[in-house]
Amino acid sequence: MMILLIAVAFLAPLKLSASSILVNSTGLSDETLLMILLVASVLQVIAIVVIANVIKSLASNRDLWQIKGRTKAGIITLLLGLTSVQAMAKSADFDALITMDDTGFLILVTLNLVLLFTFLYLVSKLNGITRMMMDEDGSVPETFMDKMRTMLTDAVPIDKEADVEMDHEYDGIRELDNNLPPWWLYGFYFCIAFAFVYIIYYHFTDSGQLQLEEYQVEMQEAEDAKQAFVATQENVVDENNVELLTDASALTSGAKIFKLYCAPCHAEHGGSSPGGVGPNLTDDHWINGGSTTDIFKTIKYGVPEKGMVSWQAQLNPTQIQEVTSFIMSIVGTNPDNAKEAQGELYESVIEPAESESQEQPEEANDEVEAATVEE
Amino acid sequence: MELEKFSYDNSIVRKFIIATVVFGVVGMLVGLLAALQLVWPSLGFATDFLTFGRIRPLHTNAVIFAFVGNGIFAGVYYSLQRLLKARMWSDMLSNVNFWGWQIIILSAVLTLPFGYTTGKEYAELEWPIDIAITLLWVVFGLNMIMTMVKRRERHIYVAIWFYLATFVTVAILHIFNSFELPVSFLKSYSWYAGVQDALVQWWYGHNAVAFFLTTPYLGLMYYFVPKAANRPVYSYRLSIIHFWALIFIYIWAGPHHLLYTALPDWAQSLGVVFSIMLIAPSWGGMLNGLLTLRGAWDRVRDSAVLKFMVVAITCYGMTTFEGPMMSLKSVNAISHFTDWTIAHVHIGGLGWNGFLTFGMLYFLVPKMWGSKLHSPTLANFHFWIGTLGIIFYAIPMYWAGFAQSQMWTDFTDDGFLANPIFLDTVTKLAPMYAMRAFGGAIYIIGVLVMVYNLIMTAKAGSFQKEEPAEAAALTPVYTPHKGEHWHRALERKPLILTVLALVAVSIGGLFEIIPTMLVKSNIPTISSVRPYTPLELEGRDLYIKEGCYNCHSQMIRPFRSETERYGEYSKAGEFVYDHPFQWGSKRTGPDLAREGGSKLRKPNSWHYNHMLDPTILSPGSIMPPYPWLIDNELDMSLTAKKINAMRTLGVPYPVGYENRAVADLQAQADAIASDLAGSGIEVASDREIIALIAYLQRLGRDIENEVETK
Repeated sequence: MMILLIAVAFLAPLKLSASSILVNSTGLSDETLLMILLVASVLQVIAIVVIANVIKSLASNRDLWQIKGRTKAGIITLLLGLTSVQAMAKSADFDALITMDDTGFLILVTLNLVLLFTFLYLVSKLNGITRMMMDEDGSVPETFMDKMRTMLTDAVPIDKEADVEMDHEYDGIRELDNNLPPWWLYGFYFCIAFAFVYIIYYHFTDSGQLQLEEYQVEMQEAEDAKQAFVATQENVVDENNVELLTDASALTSGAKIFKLYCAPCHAEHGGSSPGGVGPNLTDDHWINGGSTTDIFKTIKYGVPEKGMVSWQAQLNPTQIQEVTSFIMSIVGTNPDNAKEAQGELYESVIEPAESESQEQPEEANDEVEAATVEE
Repeated sequence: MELEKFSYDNSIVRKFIIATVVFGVVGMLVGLLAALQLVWPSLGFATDFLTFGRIRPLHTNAVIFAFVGNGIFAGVYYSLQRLLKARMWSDMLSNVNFWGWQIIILSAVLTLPFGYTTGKEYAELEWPIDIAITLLWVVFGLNMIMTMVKRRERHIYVAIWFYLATFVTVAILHIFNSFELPVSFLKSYSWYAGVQDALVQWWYGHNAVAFFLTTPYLGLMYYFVPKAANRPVYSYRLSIIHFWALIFIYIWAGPHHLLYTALPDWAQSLGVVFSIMLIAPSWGGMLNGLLTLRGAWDRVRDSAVLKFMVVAITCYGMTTFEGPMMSLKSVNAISHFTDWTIAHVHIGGLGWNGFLTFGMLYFLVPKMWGSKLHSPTLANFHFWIGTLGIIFYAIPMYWAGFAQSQMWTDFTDDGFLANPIFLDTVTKLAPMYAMRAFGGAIYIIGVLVMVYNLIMTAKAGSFQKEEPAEAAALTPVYTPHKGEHWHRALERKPLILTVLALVAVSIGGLFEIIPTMLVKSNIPTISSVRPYTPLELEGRDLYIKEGCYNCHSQMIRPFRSETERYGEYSKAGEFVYDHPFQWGSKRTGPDLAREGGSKLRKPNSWHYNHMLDPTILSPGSIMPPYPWLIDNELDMSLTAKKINAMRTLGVPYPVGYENRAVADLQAQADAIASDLAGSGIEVASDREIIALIAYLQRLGRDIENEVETK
């Protein structure tokens, strides 16, 4: 039962990464996985508490204080480890850019793993104590674990090890000549077989994708997924249909983007500074044109020869529109300590947005399609 | 038969023990400083020799070659004499080995922080020191082999097989990876370029882990674990098989450091499969160590020595399983360039090497000083705080690795990178970096407690410089037992054993490196790739000097998440003039392979301001500032020599170009300076910053020119 849950826990991140790539994946939903992981950790905690109590009562009955001490140390370590996990979860501010779900799952998977190890540790302790108690009675029945151990290691029992002792010693070091542990040996054979299969699969048949083929497939799949997504969207903003936004929410969002991405070169007030990297955006001089369309294009494609980087891989069209609108809104603010004017004087600072969009409505639609295909 | 009386040289062991402890503390403190700098970059104090890029190589070199290196010598000099029933062949060579090694360490301390580096990880030391290391290593090997020749024990014990394999392999690795062409006393260029340099470097880097951090320590394990536990070694048979399998397979696995790079696919696949096959031979060592403790587990609880050894061997088992898993390409795609690798190596370094060394020290010091361990309680404390230190170090680093990898590769539904600003994926890791520094700090507290404990132990006893012993000399004629194992015969012939080990480790290296060097198709040429201009070459040397490769890779892997972020994936043909290659192994900062390319290109003024103080343009950046690049004048005295050296290495500068190089350099520098002046930045054209900007602006551009000319 426990093992099954853990197996699910292990699979969770795999499934997650799949779901972030493929929009509609089948199988367990994220909520179900979350529940399974939570239940698994709760069950494990219960099991651990039960076993710890058994050990505790056994230990208090008998003179086994050393073992008790060790268990305590283990539990303290565990608690410290868990606290650290929680501290990390709290301190790491994962709100904006990494999805909360993935982080949550990572926390839970780690938690489950820690719990599993603790559980296994306690079980082995319990086994040890049980064996010691039986030892005292003089009867040591061979447990399942003992049988497994013998089968796995194929070792000569300690009381018969003189049979396999080599006839030499080095500075007091003696050597036994136990058989190779079968699981080890077959594991080795398996790895060697894996190596041959791997090489044949990738290099002597056409079945395996080598890295460049893998890359092309990845890009194609991403492109298809993107197209499928874009198809569900209504209007895609581009330089042919971009309009100036004036509503407060768009400008606030634009200001936020500006502060994050543009301010390093153009200063937070947009006026850059004497000797600053980017030009002043608050005056009426523009190097690459001062219309909404011009600014949108400058941001989207960049002007590499003049040092302006392209942002179309970082910002989506709506974000570029928002930041464009924000920039238009700060023209004429004349902040202190701004950079001197560069470029040409651009006359009509705020052009009538309607006229632009009326000029080329039919063309715009064609361009939208062309742009999407090109992407 | 007559017993010969002789004595074991303990004073050489004592010297190495002291050096191990001293450099352990120093190396780890330097590591702690580096860890703290990632949390508080101001701890670089805006001083050139304290920047992360120079401190990190000092840390790796100190813990590998000074701490573990001296630990190896201490353990080998102690166990070798006893296993062979012979004093070291030459006390003089022993002492040359000791003092020579310490001088090399000192020269590392005096060069690495001051920017004298070859720019190849774990092989940063410049050519004169490389030569000194080679000579010293021969001294060590000669002394060891001659002691074997003069031995009084017929057969060679498994620990010594590992010492021999260590000796021959490290010699080969060091010599071949350090082929470099000197330009001046402390400046040289790697003989190899680009892909070839990368392959040789990681063949070296991987096997430095294998034959400097692993095989000698397995040898130490085979001596100290059965000694401390007083139990017979579990299986002689297992030791033979895992020894030969380990040294044969290990050498092939280097390319797993270069998965999804411009290295040819066939070499990558070899790296993958040999790494997988390595699991069993590595675990053979772990099993033989742990199963030797059968019947002694009750004593593990009470003995600090055994406790440290058990955790060391367990950590060895964990890393040698994790390593092959990280060599699977799908896992490597996640782990590479992230802190996962840092977690992995520290499980190995802190757990396996650190704890085995501590176990050995707690065993040796009471024995050699003839006293009891001063405080078993403190040793126990050391054990627990050390273990906690490893946990607190590793878990946050694994976490950081997964989280960062996920942030790099996340896309939004409309096909954008979810975290387009690289810095955002770094600032998120700050709490993990702080936690890691805490883990490292408490680990060091444990070490300091050990230092105190060992000093008090030594004070309570008196050191025995010469330990008397007696044994019969070997008879010239030896009749083997009937039906003895065939391998026994080999154990009587140390020289043949050495030669066979040499053969075993040579095969893998030759198989991979020779074809890469010779087969033209491995590196398809790109016609538009041109040699660096003199100014760019000088800038590149500054890039190497500042250790930029410690945080920035120059290798864009063929993944959507990387080509979207950085531009076209890197091609083998782009690196043909890179002596040495600068692909890097960790992305604490973004990849720079196409920093000058159209996707990432920034104005000269951006680079100027960014180097002056990265936080101006990237608030929250943990990159240190480099103001001295603006103050320092560029040293052009070697430019002509550098052009000549590059030509010797096959870079097609026309004959006589060295005479025009400085003039060309100045012209290009003037152009950059005047461009900066246009942005209102007044800086003389003879400053280092100009050269570095020229280099950064060049990165990744050549390949775009080809597209244009087509």
